Amino acid sequence: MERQIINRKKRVFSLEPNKNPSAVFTRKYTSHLVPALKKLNMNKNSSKQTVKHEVDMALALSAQEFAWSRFLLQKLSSSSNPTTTTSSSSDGIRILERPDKEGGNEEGGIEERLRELKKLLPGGEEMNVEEMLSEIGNYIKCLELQTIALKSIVQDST
Amino acid sequence: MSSRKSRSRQTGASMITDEQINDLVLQLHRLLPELANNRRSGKVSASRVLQETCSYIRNLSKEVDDLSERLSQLLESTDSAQAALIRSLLMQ
Repeated sequence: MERQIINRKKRVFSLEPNKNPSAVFTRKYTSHLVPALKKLNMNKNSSKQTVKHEVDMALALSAQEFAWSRFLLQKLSSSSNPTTTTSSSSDGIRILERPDKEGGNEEGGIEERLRELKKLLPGGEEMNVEEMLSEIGNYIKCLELQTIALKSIVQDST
Repeated sequence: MSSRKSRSRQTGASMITDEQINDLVLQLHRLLPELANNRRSGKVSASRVLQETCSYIRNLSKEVDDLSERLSQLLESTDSAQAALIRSLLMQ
């Protein structure tokens, strides 16, 4: 996996240096999420909104080396009220399927898709295209790993 | 189409070179195996790759939403065996 490690002076883990980055993320993710769920369970405060908030928070905390993660953390912290609807659920972008347009104006289609992509990436609208390029790949990867981790937790209880 | 553009965002934000588009498309090809498989033998439009990437991200986000809801239901349930098991997991 290609991955640029910019800041080696960051926290030193007592892990094997060649540890799979995916495994590291998943372990971090679980170690953030499970205690959070315990807390919700103890407080009998396990509505969908609070669970979703903790799920998002665990994602942001597990990948802090990326800019999108810091943007996500910032958003979650500023809307610390768990009853607030997350923007992901209110992000009702309509996809207009206009194949003729795509054929006729390739450049226009690309610009439109890029704007959509920027909206989907946390902090994307504040990044230039070059920054988004470097961030989008690891964002998708972390979303995939998050899904796998969540499935594992839910299925553990089956 | 042009009327939708926010004027304050036009400058700089929408400037993109062909090289950057190509880089993005190549990167997304590596990330989305399904898309790569479908397009292996043919040239794919950048717009299509970007669109499918957006769809893929939305699908992942929807899946996270669904799993969160499922977790919430398990935590709130007081009678099912599943709920008991997840609570025992959290007690570890």
